[in-house]
Amino acid sequence: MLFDALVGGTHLVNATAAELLLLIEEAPGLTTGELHARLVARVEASPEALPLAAVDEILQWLARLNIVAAHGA
Amino acid sequence: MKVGDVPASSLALQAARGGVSLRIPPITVRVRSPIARFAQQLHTLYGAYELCDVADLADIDVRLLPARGPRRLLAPAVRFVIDGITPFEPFELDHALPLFEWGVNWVFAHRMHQHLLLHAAVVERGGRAVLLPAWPGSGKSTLAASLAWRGWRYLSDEFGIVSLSTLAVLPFPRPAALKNESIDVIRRFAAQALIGPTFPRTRKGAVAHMRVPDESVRRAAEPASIAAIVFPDFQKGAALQARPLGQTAAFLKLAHNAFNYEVLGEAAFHAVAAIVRRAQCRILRYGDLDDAHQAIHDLVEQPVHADV
Amino acid sequence: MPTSDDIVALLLLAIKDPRVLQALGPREWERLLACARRNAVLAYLAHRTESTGVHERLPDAPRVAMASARAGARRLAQLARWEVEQIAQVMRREGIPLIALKGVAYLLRDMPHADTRLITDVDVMVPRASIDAAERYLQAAGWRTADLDAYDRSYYRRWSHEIPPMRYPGRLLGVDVHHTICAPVSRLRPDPNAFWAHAVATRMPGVRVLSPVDSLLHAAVHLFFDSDFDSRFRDLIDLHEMALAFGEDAQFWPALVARAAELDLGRPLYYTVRMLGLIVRTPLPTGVVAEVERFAPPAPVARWMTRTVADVLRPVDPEPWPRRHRGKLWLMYVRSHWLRMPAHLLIPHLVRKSLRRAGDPATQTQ
Repeated sequence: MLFDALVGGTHLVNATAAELLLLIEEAPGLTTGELHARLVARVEASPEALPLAAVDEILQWLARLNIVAAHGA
Repeated sequence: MKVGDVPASSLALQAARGGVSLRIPPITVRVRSPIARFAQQLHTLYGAYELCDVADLADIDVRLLPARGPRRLLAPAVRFVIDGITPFEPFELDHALPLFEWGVNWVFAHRMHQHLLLHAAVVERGGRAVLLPAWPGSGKSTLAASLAWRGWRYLSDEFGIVSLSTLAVLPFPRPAALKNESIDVIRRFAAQALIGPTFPRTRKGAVAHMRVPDESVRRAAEPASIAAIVFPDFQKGAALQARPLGQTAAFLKLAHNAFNYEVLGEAAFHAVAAIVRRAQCRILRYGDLDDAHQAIHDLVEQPVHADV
Repeated sequence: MPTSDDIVALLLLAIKDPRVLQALGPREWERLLACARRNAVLAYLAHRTESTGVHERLPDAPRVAMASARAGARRLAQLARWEVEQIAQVMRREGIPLIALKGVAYLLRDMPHADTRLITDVDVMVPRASIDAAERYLQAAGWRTADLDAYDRSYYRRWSHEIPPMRYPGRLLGVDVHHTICAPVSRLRPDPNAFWAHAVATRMPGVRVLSPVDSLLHAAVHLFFDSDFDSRFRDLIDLHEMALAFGEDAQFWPALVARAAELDLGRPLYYTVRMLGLIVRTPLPTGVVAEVERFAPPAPVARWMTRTVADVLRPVDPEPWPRRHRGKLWLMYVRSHWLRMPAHLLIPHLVRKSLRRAGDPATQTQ
C-alpha cells in the first residue's frame, strides 16, 4: 500500500511496482533500461518473465499517478 | 441519574422545554422535541444512559420538530434540525425516532475527525474487540445484536471509533437498527432483547431498534484493542466458511469502509496498516447465527501470533 | 442565557481577538461553535486560535471540535490544489492560459486562511475565445459536464459567464470554467482583458491569479450578486483577509480605488468597505473610507441599503427557530438590478435554485 502524502491518495501497488519504487527512491535518475536490469537482479527473475515492456508499463502508470516523473535526457 | 429513573412523561416534558441531554459515550447529545411519542421511545431505548445537565456543553444538539414537508406532504412530518439547518428531507411524523438515529449518525460522522471512524459494528469479549465492517447485505447489525446476548459486550452498531494514538476501539453504544427479517430473527434469538416499535416504509424498509444491554452501556467508557476483523457474509442456508484475508486486501476493504479515511490522510493510512497487521482478518460466510458465533469465538480465543 | 446578538457579537470579537474565548462557559461555547458552524467559519475560527497561540489553552471539547473542522477543510484544500493542477496540465498542453479564482486562488497565494474554507468547486477563468475549446479539452481528458435539464442549459447559455459545471468522475470537487468576472448581461460589465492584463503568475506553471487589487474587486462583486446565501459571512471574511494581507502595502489602497473607478466597480467596493468597517471592524485607512464615498448611492438609499446589506451579511445565530428569512427580497432586488434579469424570470429561477440546494446535504455543515 502506498500513500501519496502530496495528494492524500492511497494506492495499491503490486510487489513488482513496489520494488521498482524502492529502486527509484534509492537511485533516482536512472533510465528505464537501467531500472529494468536492476529490478530483474533484485527480484531474481528471468528477463523473459519480466520484460522491459512490463517495466515501462508500470512506470507509465506511476507517472500518470504523479508518483514518479520522467525528465528528458 | 439515568434516563430510566425519571418517568417517561417527565422526559417528554423536558424534551419539549429546554431539551434532554444524554451521555452517549464518547459524546453528549441534547435532544429537543415537542413530540411526546418520540420522547417516550427514547425513554424506552435509552433508559440505561446517564442524563446530563441540559446547561452543559453538548457535542451534538438536535431538534426533532413537526414541520410541513416542502412537497406539501399530506401527512404531518418531522424535521431534523442541527445547528440551524435541516440537512435531510422530513420524515413522516411517526418516524421521528429513526430520523433521530440516522441523523445523529450523519452528524457524528462529519464531526469526529479526532478519531478514525470505521463503518462497522463492534463487540468485545475478554479484552478483545471484533470489528464487523458494514457492506450491503452483510448482516453486521444482526450478527452484532445477537452476539450481545451471548456473552459479548456491545460497543457499537455503526461506528468503529479507533483512537489514532492507541489504536484501541472506543464504544459508542446506540440502539441496534434492525431491518426487515432481522427484527424477527433477533426476537426469536433472544427473548430478553427489548425491541422498540417497527417503523414500516423507511428508506431501508421496515426498521426497529434493539435496546443495548444495560451492562454494555454501563461499560461504555472502556476501550478495547482490536483482535479480529470479520467481514460477515450472510447467505441463507450457507455452510460456515471462514476465509483468511491477506493484509493488503483487508487494508483496502477497511479503508474503503471508513467514514473519514480521506480526511485523516496519512494518519489514517498508518492506523489502518497497524490494525490489519495485528488483527486476525476473515471473511465469514454463514447461514446460521450460532455457527457464526462459534467461529468468531474460536477466532478470538486463539493465541495472538506475530503478523503473517 | 445569551441572546442571538450576544452570540454574534462574541463570534465577531473572537475572530479578531481569540483571547476572549478563554473566559467562556460551556453553554456559551456550544452556542458559539454552532454559530461558527452555521456560518461556515468554524475551521477559520480554529485557525485564528492557532495563530494567536490560544488553541492549546482551550477546553477539550471546543478544541477538539475546531480541530475536527480544520481537518475537514484541509482535506478539501488538498483536493482543490490537486484538481487545479490536473486542469492546468490539460490547459498547458493545449496552450490555453488560465486564471485561478476565489478559493483556489487564495490557496495558490498561500494566504493563511485559504485552507479553512469548505471548498466545493474549483473556479478558473480562460479567455472568452478559448472557452469552448477548454470545455472540449477537459471533456476529452475525462471531465464530465453535469447532467442538466433544458432549463438550466438555456440559463447558462443566456445569462451566465461560465460553461455548465464539470466534474471528473469519482472526484469530490466540481469545476467551474468562467470567461469573465460578471455575467454578460449584468449592469457591471468590466472588460475581462483588463483582468488578464494585470494577472500575476503563481508557483504553478500556466496558472495565474488576479492581481491583489482585482482579487478584492472580484470578491466584492461576487459577494453582492453571486455568492451562496449561506456563505455570505464567510465571503466577507475572505475580503477581510485580503484587506489585511494586501493592505500592508501602502500603494494598495489608492490603486484599489483607482481601479474600481476605471472598471466601474465602485458600488461593490463601496459596500465592501462599509461592511468591513461595520461588521468585521477591519482596520482600514481613513483615506479609503472617505474615498469610496463617491461610489455611494444617493444618501437616503445609502442609509437604507447599508442597514439591509449589513443585516444580510452579519453572521446568523442558528438557535432561533423558525429561522428568520433575512433579506431575501433585498437579494432579489439586487440581483434583478445588477443582472438585469427581468423579475418574471428571476423569481422562478431563484426558487428553483433554492429548492435544489435545500435537497443537497453535501452543501451543509462542518
